[in-house]
Amino acid sequence: MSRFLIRRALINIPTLFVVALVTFAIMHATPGGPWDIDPGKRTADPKFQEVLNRRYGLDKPLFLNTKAFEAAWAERANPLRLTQALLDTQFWNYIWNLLHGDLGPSYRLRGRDVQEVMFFPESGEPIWTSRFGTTALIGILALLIAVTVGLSLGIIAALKQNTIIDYTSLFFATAAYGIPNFVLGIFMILIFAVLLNLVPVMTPPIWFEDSHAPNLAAAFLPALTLAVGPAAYLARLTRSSMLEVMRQDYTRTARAKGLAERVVVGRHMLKNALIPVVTVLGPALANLVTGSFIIESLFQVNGIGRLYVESISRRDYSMIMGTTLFYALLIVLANMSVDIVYGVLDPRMRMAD
Amino acid sequence: MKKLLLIAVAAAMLVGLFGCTPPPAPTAVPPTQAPAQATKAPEATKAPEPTKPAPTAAPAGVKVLRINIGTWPDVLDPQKSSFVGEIAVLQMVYEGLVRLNEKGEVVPGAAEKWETASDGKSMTFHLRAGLKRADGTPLTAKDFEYAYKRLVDPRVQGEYNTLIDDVVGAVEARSMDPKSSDADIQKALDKVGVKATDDRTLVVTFNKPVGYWAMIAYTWVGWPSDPKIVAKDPENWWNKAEGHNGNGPWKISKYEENKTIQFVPNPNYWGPKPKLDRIEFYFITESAVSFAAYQKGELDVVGLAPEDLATVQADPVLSKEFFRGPAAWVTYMGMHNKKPPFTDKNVREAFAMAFDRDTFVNDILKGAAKTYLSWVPPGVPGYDPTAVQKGYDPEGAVKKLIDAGYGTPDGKKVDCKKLGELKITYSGTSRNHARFQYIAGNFAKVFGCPVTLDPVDPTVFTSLVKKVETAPQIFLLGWVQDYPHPQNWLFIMACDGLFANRIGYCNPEFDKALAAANAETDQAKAIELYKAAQKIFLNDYPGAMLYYNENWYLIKPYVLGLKEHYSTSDAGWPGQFGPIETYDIDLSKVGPGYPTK
Repeated sequence: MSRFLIRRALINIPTLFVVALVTFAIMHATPGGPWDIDPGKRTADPKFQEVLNRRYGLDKPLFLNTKAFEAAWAERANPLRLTQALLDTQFWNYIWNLLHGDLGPSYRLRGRDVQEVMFFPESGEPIWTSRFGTTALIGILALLIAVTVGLSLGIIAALKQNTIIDYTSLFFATAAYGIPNFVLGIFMILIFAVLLNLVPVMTPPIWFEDSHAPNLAAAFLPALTLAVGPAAYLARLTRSSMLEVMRQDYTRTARAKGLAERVVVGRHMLKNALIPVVTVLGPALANLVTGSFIIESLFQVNGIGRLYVESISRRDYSMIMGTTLFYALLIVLANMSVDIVYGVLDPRMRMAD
Repeated sequence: MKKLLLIAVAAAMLVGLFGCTPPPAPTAVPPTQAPAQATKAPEATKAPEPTKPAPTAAPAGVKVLRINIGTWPDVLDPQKSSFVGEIAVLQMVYEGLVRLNEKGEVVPGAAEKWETASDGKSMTFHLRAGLKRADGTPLTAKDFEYAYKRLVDPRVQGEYNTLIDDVVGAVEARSMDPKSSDADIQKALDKVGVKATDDRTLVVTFNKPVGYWAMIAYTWVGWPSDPKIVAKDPENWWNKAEGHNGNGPWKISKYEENKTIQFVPNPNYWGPKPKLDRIEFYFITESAVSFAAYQKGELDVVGLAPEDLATVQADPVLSKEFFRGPAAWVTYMGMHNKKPPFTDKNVREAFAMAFDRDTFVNDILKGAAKTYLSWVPPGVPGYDPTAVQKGYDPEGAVKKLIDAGYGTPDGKKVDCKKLGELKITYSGTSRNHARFQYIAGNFAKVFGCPVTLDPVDPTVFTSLVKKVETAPQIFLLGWVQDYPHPQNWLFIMACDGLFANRIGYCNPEFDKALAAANAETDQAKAIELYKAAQKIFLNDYPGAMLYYNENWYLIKPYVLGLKEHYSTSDAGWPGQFGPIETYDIDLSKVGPGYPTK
């Protein structure tokens, strides 16, 4: 098992490296830079840009610094110096700093570092109220909602297959899965805030000002909006998985033994039916945490998703890299945890490895 | 000093004024008289019923004004900020040597009086006695000297650090290598011509006679950030309420990133006490959300997005709360003066006459702008209704081209071969395609010559229009003012100016007229000189003037005073430059959602 874990962990390193490389390449292949966003801004002045580029090292080549290499070669420098010269570029400097745990300064939120913006709240406030903490809170709440609603709907639909209950829940699951987040968000606001007047349109702070405890009432609507899609997906998945299990021999055997229906469903059917469901939970959580950008703008939630979207349109290179890599890391970890849980649920998986 | 914007085409026409990213320029200039403007904007100004700020016997309660500003600020540092929303926040908390009123006039601020030397090469500001910051510590002329020197400190790199280039030593200091030694930088800063000669006197010296500097003294770049606070965290001091120990009429009572900034009166401010107990700025970027919040009574003032206009006009209540006013934002069509056929002034003039502005503004832009044939917009000093380019006249346009030698041999039609290829380049957003198809079709119809459409990626467009060598043949450009003064509209057209550079326009005669206006210290005379300069450049047809944009707002009827003090500007909210202390809330009319504490 430990060999499995180590191998599983190591394989993530090249994955993340490729994510960094591709993101970096695409980002720089897109025309424009952090100072280019608005042609009317002072920063559009070429002289001003030069200064800023020099200051942030954006005047260096992207991947290979052949000029510095040739200069070093002419000086007959040793191989170490040669390599250093060749790799004195934006990408490799970024990777080098990354290995030191430094995500670099943000280009647009001037004077602030990427990791500080992502992971640290205002001075004096507890760490969980950071942007990441906020996004995570909403993601976890959404997952709880999605699992509760999705599993219940799926199980009920499967047990009452081909009844009106089954069709109704299937209909809602299909419809909900098809509606994009941002449309759903506006609907939620209109229904819960305007029509029913249960919550304000302008979402109150997600963390209470004095106690710094999560304000569940405030987080509810964004979390619910976020949960609808995954809940629908889980419901459909659970239903079909349950239906399959119902036809298995061991279910028939359990019934034939005269076990109570509760035991048949709970112990024999559910445990097996949930295996495919569990495998999607990890990625679902990662998706929920990372899928919240539009939701965060709609509900004015100060999280990472919003930061991500804004940084792309602003060509805030370091912020794009930081958020993308972080998301990639989350997804990689989620997938890894699924493999582990899977191993626990189904020992054959481990053996096979 | 420039900044204003040139808005890429796309944006330019845009109207996304509210809700989307606000154009970076603050501005202020009001309609010279509010009522006049009312006539222009019927819906808005049916100067409704009892909106008079009459001191009614108001029921007890807290008076709060809740406004949606839009995008959360990138930076709230007077020496670095540049966006409208940023300046709207800073203006609450800081006060410059002088202030602007809603008419765009300079009025006393921290300085009670000032004078310009007879040679126009220096100004002396006399500060009020007993000025204090919000925490009660005294504020002196040294604080302003600090602010201006910090602006041109090469280590600070504020986006607007060119705004005070007229000041002795400013250019030298700001263009130093930021990695120079601290001693060298200090030496350069010591030479900058801003000196506090005693606690209440600030002397500013210029390279040449400058007549408009009182207006520059209004701008946010000189607002006194607190040196003690800045020193502790030079880059990031501004991102919390406690960072802003200002000298303005309000102080920050609540600061929640990406959500809200709230203000209460600053007890240490020298001026009159406001009637409002609190002003709350919100930062909602989704217009559907701010619109819903307004309808539910959670916001009192919001910008209106074009897609919600129909809803508002059809609604008996909302239509009365709709308010529109001109924005200090003019769009024109650039025709590259160094690329044929537009090297010929007659061709430029003919194209100006061929543009059907009314149809474009009413049908394509859905009425979100007003057609306009001049440059300095109404409400800004220097506005001159007599200085106009020729408007839509398709037959005249064709005749003009034929007379200029671009006709077929029989002299009946335009010879397209002589004109050569015509190409409109624009930022290829979905919104823009329809707009530019219309423009291309318009010219094709009038002249019978094909016009190529050249959509490019928005950032590519931005980089193209940056230099005269790469600027396209035909494109649309906008300008939003930094401060309500004709100098800010005209300097970009000088030979070394931002816009002239982009369209290859350069007329030494215009430059001479502008220099004369800039040097005139008597502002009444100066305005006339600016008008004369404006006529020269309009007559040269460096581009075709098209329209100015409008600001659209919804304002609750119980909010008193804002509409009356609307300024022609891209301020963060209507009334930003008016006497905020007189604004009031009629508590007898507020809805159930109104705050009670």
